[in-house]
Amino acid sequence: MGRYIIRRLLQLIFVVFGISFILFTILSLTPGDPATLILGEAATAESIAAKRAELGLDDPFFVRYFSYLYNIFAHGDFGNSYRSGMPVFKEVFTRFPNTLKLALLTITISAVLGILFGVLSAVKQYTWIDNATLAFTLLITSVPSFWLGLMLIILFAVQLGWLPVSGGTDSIRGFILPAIAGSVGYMANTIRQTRTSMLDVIHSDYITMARAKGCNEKTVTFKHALRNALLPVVTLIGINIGWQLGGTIIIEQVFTISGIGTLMITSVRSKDIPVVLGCVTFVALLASLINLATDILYAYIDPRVKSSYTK
Amino acid sequence: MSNTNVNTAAERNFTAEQVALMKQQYKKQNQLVATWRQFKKNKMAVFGLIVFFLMVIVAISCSFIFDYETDIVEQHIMERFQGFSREHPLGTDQFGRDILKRVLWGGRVSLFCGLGAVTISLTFGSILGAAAGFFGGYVDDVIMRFMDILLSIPETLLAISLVAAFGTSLPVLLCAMAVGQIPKLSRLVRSQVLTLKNEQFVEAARCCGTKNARIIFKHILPNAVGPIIVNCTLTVARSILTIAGLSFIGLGLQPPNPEWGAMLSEAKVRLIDYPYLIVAPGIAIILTVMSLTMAGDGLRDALDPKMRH
Amino acid sequence: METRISKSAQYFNEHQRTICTKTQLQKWFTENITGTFISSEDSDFMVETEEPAMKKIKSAVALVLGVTLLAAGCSGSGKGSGGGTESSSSGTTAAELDTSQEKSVHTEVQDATKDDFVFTIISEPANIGQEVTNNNGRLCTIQVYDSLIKENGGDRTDLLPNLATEWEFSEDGKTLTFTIKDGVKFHNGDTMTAEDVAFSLDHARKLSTNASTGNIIEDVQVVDDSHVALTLAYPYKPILNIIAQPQYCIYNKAYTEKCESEGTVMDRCPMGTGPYKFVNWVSGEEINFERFDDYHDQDHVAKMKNLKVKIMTDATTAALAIENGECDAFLGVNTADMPRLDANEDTIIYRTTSTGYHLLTLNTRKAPFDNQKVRQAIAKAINVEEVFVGGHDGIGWITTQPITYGIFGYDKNFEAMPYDLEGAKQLLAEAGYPDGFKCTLKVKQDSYYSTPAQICVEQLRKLGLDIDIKIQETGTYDTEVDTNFDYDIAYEMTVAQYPDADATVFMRLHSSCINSPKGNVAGAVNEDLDKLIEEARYELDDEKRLELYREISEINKEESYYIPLVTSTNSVVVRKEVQGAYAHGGGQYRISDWSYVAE
Repeated sequence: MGRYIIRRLLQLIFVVFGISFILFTILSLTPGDPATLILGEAATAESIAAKRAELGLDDPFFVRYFSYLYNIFAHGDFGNSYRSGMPVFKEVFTRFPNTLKLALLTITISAVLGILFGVLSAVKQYTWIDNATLAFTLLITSVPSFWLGLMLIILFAVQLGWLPVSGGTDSIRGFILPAIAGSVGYMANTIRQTRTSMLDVIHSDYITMARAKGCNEKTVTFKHALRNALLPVVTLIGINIGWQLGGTIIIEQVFTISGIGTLMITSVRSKDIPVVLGCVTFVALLASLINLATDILYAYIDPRVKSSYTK
Repeated sequence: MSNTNVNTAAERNFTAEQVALMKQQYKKQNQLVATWRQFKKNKMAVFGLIVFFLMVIVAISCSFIFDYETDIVEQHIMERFQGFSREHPLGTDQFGRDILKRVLWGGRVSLFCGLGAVTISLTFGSILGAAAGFFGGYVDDVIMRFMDILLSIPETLLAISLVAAFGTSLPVLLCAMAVGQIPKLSRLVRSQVLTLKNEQFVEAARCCGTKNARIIFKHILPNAVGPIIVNCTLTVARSILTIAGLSFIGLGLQPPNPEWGAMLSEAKVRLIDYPYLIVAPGIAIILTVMSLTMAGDGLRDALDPKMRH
Repeated sequence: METRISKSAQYFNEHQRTICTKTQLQKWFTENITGTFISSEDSDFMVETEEPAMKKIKSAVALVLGVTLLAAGCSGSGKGSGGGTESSSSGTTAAELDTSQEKSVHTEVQDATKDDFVFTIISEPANIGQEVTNNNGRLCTIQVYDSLIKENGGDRTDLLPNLATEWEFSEDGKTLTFTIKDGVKFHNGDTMTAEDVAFSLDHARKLSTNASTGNIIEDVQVVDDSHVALTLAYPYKPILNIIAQPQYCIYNKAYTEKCESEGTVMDRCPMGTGPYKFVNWVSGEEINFERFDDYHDQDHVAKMKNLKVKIMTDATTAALAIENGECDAFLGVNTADMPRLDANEDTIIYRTTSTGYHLLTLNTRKAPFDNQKVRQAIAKAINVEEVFVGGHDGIGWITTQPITYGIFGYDKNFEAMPYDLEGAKQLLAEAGYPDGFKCTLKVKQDSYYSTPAQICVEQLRKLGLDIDIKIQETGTYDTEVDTNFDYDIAYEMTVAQYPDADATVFMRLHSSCINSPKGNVAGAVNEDLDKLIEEARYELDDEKRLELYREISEINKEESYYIPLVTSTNSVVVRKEVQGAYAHGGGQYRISDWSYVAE
């Protein structure tokens, strides 16, 4: 078990380095001079040159990349925003709680509803419930989440006035509509995955055995089938969390939640490269960590995988 | 070509390679027919395909029916926000432009973007995947690690980074849409290549000294076409959603392009007073993506041997 | 039907103090509401033969708004920066201005019933302090900092003592001496000294963001412990207005120097003498302030303890938020939402003319915009009426001169370049571009600017230009267009820092400002213009000044360096429970004078 974890951790480190390298490369190709951007109006030729030297912009590419990495690991310093002068880390971290709240709520909704519908659809295969669920799944994969968000705003916030319009308030009420809008994409593949693995399990021998032994349907479904069917679903949910952290961008724009997504967009528009790099690396890192955790959890839970590692 | 013909051909001293090739082609033809039969049984899939073809027809004919300058882009400020009428079945927007025409033209834009994205991802994905599968060894490792890394970056984030670096010109946007799909496609191609690598006809081709590239592109890939098409269909669907999302946040196609996401973004400001502005582009996106997904799913089910009963 | 409409009229009259008289409103209603109200031009309405829908009322309100705002512009009964007089043909003079204003807004404001006030803005201020460049920044600055002089609520021409108790001009008008108030405390406990005042004024005048006003002040000297003297380069009437702006607020010298030496960004932890103390700044979300109980003017201690300036990047969402009661005041409302907010009984909109006007600027540094014929062609191709209706929903005033509508120096009878598409095409051909040429129009991403800009782009496309629009983020735009002058055509807003024509004209048209950020962005270098502008600046006779500004506008029209379009309104939306509120063209909302009284 331990060996497995160590191996995956090494993979993780490699992946994270890869991510940061790719993103660093892409973003350092951005045209425009950061020094001029920072200094703005006070920019004389000398001050620009001085700033460039200070930021090390004239160094060769790899030197810059490694000093960037060094700063992160040695000092936890992701650089300073070109726009506000504040440390990138601080900017990202002040906004992170909002994104986290949104992501967790979204995942909860999509997981709960996804599993529910998936089980229902599998158990009642070939009935109208199954078809309806499949049609529903198809529909929600095709709906753009921002459009759904706009429709939800019109219905719940404007017409009915039940829920607040602006997200990102301290209470959970501000996150309900955004979470619903954002959950649809992930709900679809959760439903599908749950349905598939439930179907696989239901048609397997040990379930037939359980039925033969005389267990009632409820026990069969929930105690035996679901437990086993859930394993791949858990993996999927873990992956979804990772993706969700990056995927909140559009929802945050629709509902004006001040989270990492909004920060990313503002920084992209203002060519504030350190912040963009910081955001994306942060999210990618987090996503990878969660993937790793999910894999380990999965390996731990599933006795077949576990046994192959604990020789 | 029936089985008997092949055997007779064999007797007539065709080379081993040629025989193996002919067998493969025969099998492929059979497969195609069987797949189509299976596909036809799935009503939803057929429906999706029909809708999609209709959209393609509309998209192509748009440039003949409408004139871009006068119908789509030209503003008639004094006619803004008109409701549904005979002249403007879906009303006019904040610049007085006809919404129906813009939505129809938007289909053209979206499909073009989707196809562009698919072309790019198909090209790169199949080259990388085929190379990984065919050559194996450390080529495989390197390519697959790289794909893993790309997969770990959430797709929207990757697209936005590209736009951040290179701006919102069309080629960049197409790449931004494609880059998230390349890992999946390359994986697919790789597994297909791995499976087919050991087939007889590849052996045969190799015996005759055919160059590697030729083997890959002429012999292997055409047999892997099925799953690749499924993937492409779903890629087009996803790309349309991606470009709509990017345009919505202002990082995609710029005005006055009648792209559905951009139209939704402009409609957002008028959300409360003129909610009808959101309806048409939204439904257009849903219909397009849904029909493509239905067709793609149907094709995938038709190809799946497990389902052929 | 009748009940509904009379209620709206009533509502209007009770709450819209800045707009129109009851008779005007009634007259319009009786004339127009009985029949169907569609004409092919005013397509904001819909024909309805059934029960009047809410939309009809809203549309009616919208038209009334537009009509009455235009009426207000002509009748000059508005508060705020220099309104005109009753259909005067020669513009306004300062004297007429004073008598036609409603006086102080400080009607009796009751004690607040709650401690927390939420003020929403739609973009994060870049600075709090002397370097402010937009109204959101000024809003925050004025809570924390004081200047020597302050404006009386929304009345920008009524100046009151603030940190200075009195001031005096010397004989030749070139020295201005201030008497500093005693015992003024900073938030950190320090007492304000003349040193602080002199330091602050000197610091302010040297900032590049104050370039257009700073060069008027030659020197700042401490005379004694309670007097500071400004030496001016020449006698300049509006200098008092300049000193009243938040750009010349008073810093604590020791604190400023400490921040500079430590490398802390003082804009993010401001400390001044204002009625509110800075508490914290949650980046991208909100800025919090707390009442300063030792405020030097005990009559104006803040009524509400906690002030939260909330940043909500989307104006539509913010408009919904204030309707729902999620915030108490909102600056930056879209013209699209105004009719609905007016009709809503829970919200009130206060308006005044903005201090700025929208315009197109042509970069004369680049070919072919150095060709006068090309510029004139572009000016002729713009249909300002359409930009006004389509981009500003008909709310505001069409502006014909490079001066904000209604402030001193503006002539309502001046005619801009008429819309003439054929003539424009001809001019373009004469200039050597019969097939047009390729160019881009840059604009900021806020729909407030980008929507009218799109209309301009379409109009220029009709002219035959191969033109593309480039919507940029505010920071990028400021750097590229306003600082580096890297653009072809740009759509932007000129803001007058104080209510006088010189504020915009000098900055935009004088050749000395061609390298100043947000200054002479078009790069116009014209000797005649320079002479006229300088004359107008030093001229003390109002009639002569008006004539000079007319001439200046004529030259600009001929040369078409700038194409003025629309002066928008500067509006603040408040909940009906808010007392003491007013509109201010420069974002200077003294929340310490406001109160929230729940009914």
